[in-house]
Amino acid sequence: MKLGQMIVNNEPVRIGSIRVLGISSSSSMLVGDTQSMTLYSYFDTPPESVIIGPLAPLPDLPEENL
Amino acid sequence: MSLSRRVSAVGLVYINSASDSSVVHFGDNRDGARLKARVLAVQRSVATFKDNEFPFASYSLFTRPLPVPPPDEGPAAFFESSCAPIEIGTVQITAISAASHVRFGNGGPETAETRIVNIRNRIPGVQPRVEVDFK
Repeated sequence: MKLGQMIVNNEPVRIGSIRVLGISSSSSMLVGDTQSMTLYSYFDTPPESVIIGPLAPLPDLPEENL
Repeated sequence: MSLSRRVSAVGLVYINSASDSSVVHFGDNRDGARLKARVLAVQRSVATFKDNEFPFASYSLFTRPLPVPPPDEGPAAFFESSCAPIEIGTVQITAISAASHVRFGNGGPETAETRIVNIRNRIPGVQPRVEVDFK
């Protein structure tokens, strides 16, 4: 379904002061205009990410397998 | 469709740190930014790490396809800013990290991607030299 038209007039922007502690993991702080923004972030910490067990380092692979 | 230009004026900017595929941008930008950071954070009782011990390919999170945004809907939009200025007094930012983006001005499209896997590896009987909080 096609709707009508939208006309946006971007007027001047005036800001006194900005104080930000942190911008992290695919975040954006924008003062201005943009057409589109696509931000992803994954944070994977499943239960198996906690490993409690002895450390048994495997021997190095032979050269030809690297 | 391109955005109009703007004149950006910032009085004072203080940024403590911008790290890990982050961008600080003053002014307009035509092609946007593509930011990407992949992180594997491994916390271990003792720092016995070897080369290539944690390849990204071993973790499905890094090969999972990105979600596809829904197509544009709604009316056609036309933007006009006729060089309307952006004036900012003071900006103070402590930290920008992990594929993040700060811009004063027009631009886009922005694309950012971060993937993080956090692994805690506790070794029984080994006391870390520094107190580590395994939650």
